Amino acid sequence: MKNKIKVAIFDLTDCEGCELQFLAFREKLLDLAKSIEITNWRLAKAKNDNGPFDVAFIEGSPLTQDDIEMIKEIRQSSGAVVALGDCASLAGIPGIVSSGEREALARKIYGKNYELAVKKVYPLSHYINIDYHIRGCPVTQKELEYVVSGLIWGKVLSPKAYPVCLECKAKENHCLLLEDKPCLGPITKGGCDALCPSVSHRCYGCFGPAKGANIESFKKHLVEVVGRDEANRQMHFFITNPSMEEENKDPSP
Amino acid sequence: MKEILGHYITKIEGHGKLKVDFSKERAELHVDEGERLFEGLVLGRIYEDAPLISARICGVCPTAHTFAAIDALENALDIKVPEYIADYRRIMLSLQIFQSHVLHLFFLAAPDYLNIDSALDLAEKNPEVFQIVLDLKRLADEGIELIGGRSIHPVTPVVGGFTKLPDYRKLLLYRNRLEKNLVHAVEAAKLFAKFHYPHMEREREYLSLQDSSYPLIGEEVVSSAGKNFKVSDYQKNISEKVNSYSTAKFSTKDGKGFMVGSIARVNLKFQLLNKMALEIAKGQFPSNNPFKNNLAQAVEMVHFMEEIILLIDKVKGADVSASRINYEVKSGKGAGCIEAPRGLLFHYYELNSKGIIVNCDIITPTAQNLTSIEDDADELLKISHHLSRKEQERQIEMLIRAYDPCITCSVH
Repeated sequence: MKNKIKVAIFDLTDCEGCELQFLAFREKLLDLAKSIEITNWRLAKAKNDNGPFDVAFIEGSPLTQDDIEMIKEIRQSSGAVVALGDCASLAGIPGIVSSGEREALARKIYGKNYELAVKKVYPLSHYINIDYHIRGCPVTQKELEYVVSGLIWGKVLSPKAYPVCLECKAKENHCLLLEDKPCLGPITKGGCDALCPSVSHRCYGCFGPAKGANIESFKKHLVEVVGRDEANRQMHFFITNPSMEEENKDPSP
Repeated sequence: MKEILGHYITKIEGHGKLKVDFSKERAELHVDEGERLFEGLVLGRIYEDAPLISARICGVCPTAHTFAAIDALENALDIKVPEYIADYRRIMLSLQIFQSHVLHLFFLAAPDYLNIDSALDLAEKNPEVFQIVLDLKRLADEGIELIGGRSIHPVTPVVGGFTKLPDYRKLLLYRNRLEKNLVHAVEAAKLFAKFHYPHMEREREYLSLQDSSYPLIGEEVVSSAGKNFKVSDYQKNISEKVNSYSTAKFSTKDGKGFMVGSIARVNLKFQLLNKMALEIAKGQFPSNNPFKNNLAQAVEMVHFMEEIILLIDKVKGADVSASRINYEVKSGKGAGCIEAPRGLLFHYYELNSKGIIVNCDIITPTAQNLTSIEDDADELLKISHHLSRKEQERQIEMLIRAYDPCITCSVH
């Protein structure tokens, strides 16, 4: 391949778990190096280009002014921008509290005069246009591989439109819901290969809401199983959060 | 973008900028990670959410946070798990240190000593070593996946045990692969014994856990200054201070900086290292040179591979169908502490009678090391006048990297 695809991997405020999945490619990194060139990756390289990039992966939540300024510049200097993981795509774990709660918690943790640089946690799509969302906390190597190979071969990427239950059934797991136990499988986007139910753990929704999921109806059922308070807590993890509610839409259709 | 990006220190976990005042010989580590407020995010939530949420503090050491949270919650709920569950936890904690050290040693630190831009350049320059690195990375990731369900943000560990434990035969296969790779790991670790570490010595206090073997989990903190304390008293012994230039708090003990992590553990518990690790460490420790933290990590990488093999042999015959114990949910408070890859990791929770979290405190290893990092940087400035300012800055960045700081952990 004559011209390698220029790829950048950026991290905002987050745990950096999603970008580590690139390193978990191991030998495949060497194969990839034949077709793509990583020209900016702060975590792994000292010398980093400022663009332009064919594709930029952005991981994390914009929680500093630097973060916000940076993503706007990345958007301008990149052909495609991929939201890497739930923090980027859905506002993730920091997004489970409202801006009011955030301010109160910041004062509790840092002292009464503490001012947050960014009060409300939004997903990237609040600030910039996103071309593709990779969900998961963390994202899977399988999905990353699908996206990266799609970019190399110029394939049209199509996000998975089925819930975790489909993968869970294929693995012939016992259904936790049928045992009157909580499980968010029916409303959670697939892609994890039903990881949690396969090890006797309830699905807690870490791939975010599935496309077209009837969340309200499912919540009624969950209230019957675990009560209203716990149902609210379980939903306010990855399925919904204050910024998704405010914008009244799933940011990653 | 250059303005913003150019200032962040590369090849460390998270966002930090180095500010050096050459006239005052003073260096500051400006921590610029946004506030995620984890100690607040868990409030009002059920105790079972704490391991799941706190794992997200860090993608490099999620398993450490998971078990620190579980340890604290079990102390709050007066739960004692059977020995084989504790042993499986030790395997996971050993795997966590192994996994994190492989990442830091080869992908983040080694380029400094080999004068290359990135570990990926090793593929061309030294393909044999690169293959060893990839094999070790695979082993570490797959070990955590085997027991925890996935290599990042594990799902099986819960209060009271594990939701499910793997078939022992799978564990045995894994054990044999580890044993086969041990000789390569020793070879790779020995590279770090040959590296040229900048010369600097500074006395300081080192802390690690007191454990029945080389430290992983325990109830007492041991100090090189002889000032030991109980984990439950950690808030009385370690103070945290907010600095205007940092979203991470800086810890001190008795008003001074101290150090936790690999070099602290090796310095304090040298005699408890496993055989092959001890061979590499001989004559190199105790050391007051913070750069040698990298060598201590290499020693520990080998030690914990040996330890995992010993532990897998130990859990043979345990009935893994009883992977968790029953317990009662009640009100209580409890502190927990484990040895994370970068050192002591404290979690503290208070629960009401329904098991809802009403108070939480987390002190991470990097937050504990920050004061010591800055003091070392100042010292390095004082002893490196003969170097150009650019070279001095490069050395300080290298020093910071040698500490293996986890900035995202330190802010949390």
